[in-house]
Amino acid sequence: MIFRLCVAGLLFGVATAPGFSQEFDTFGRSEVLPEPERDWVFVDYSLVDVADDRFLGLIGVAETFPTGAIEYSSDGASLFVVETFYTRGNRGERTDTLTIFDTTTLGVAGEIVIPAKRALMLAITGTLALTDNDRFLAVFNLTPATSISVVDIEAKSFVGEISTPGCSLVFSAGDLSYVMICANGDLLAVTIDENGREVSKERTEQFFDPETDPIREPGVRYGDEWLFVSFDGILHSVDVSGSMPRIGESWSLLSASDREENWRITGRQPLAVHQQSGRLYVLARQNDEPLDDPADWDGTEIWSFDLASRERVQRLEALPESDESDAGGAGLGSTTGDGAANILVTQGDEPLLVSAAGSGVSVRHAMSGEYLHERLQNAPSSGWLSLRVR
Amino acid sequence: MDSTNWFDRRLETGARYLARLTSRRSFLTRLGTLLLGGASIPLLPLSRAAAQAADAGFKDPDIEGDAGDPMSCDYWRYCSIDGFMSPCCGGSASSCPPGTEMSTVTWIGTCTNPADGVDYLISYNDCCGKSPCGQCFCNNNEDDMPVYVTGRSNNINWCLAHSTTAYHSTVALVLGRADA
Repeated sequence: MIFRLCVAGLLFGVATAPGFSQEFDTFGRSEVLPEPERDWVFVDYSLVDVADDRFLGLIGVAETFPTGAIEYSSDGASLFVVETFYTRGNRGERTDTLTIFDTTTLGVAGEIVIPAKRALMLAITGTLALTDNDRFLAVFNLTPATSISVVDIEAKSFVGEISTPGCSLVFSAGDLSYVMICANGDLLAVTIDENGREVSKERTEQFFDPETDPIREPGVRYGDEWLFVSFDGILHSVDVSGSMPRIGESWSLLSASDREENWRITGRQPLAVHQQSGRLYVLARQNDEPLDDPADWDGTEIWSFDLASRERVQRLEALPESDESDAGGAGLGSTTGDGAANILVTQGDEPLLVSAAGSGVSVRHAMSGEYLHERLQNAPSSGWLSLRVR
Repeated sequence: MDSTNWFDRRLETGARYLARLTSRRSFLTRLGTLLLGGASIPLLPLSRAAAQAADAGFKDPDIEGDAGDPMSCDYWRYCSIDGFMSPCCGGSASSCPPGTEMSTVTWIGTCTNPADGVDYLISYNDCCGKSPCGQCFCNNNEDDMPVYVTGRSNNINWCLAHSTTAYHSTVALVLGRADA
């Protein structure tokens, strides 16, 4: 063996430039991510630098279907997911945990066991909500009785469960409150104290009419407001800055001519807001009949609106011209595959518009609509989009 | 079954399917009639399914003219299904595949039987305890509601009340006439 090494060394010496010295690697090194940038986006559980088309890492979340929501601390240092485990794979004793990941190592930084009641469903938004002060995280439960589990993030402990009969999904509404959507169209304001214990539950007036035009689940935060779109393209807003949610004026994202042409607001993740400019991005498509589940139908166009003036300011094709693939699926959570299912806008001065279709993730400058990457090469081809830095 | 081909067919049939769908608004009118006319049925989809489990073993009522192919996504009972059709997975339209358990809570839809033109209440019970079947995915969604109207949403894993929430496939039980 020593002889062989000597021969190899001689050959090596002959083949390389004089003075070259190979450095040897050390074993066991793992990357640690630097300070996060504003254009780092999670595509499901994969962290991607969408500006540089670079895959940064993956968080090792227990596989469940569908993908669970991710919540982020406001400093971007921690992220939170809910996981479900069985002692024998898909059977045995069930344990649900709220798991905290460190966003620099993408490793587990903490785990809090919560009641094994977390809602398992296709809706992602509204399954967990971190209060605006980063202190208390609520997990939506469905057994099918509805409730929330409150976790103290600072103490890393489960505080308690709050029953929320008739009301589902949970959204942050300030430092010590949440808002939920009730089956009859009311909102439920849940207030907790400094220890995370229930103080009050109070319903608002009707936010929307579920029998004539229900709202979609994936709401987006715009400052102190939550925005939701209805099946019929009406934008509803609720201001959560006060002690009780204040319902705003609703308006239609579809003009009279849009309606004549049978445009619908669709997509699994149909809304995105750039906070600084007040631009709302939505997914839209034409369909003769109203859609019973708009989430299953991709948007073929992306429209943007100025929220202040309510004017539509952009109209973009959802897919790049180079996209010729048929990305339609035939499985749980699949969509039509002829457009984009998910959209997201990064924040800051130069926002990027990120859209995910089954065939790939596209990135463009949000204000001009000009493509930066027609299709990312180093990212999953589709998935739920979320921002590490809000 | 080749899923891509199946999906192509689904898109083809989808256009025809959508064309024959009544609008959401007309369904809601129908539901309103139900609420007025048969108050106990829409209000108690969950307990009704559970009661069937205890009393009748989930047997379908004997309905004349239950024609069609239960392995086809166009089969009339599947108007609001979102999942893998049980007959393609070793079960039937009203029974779960071997080794799985039928969920006792579920969502309820209303489908028209073309054989007699009558609307029936359909209970879409999930079959639980194994990984997804993967065969014959069918996503029709007629009258599907968002998850906050829990009893009328097919986007919920209805194995949620079981000891294991592993979703496998879905059956479509005829509970009775919608106008009863």
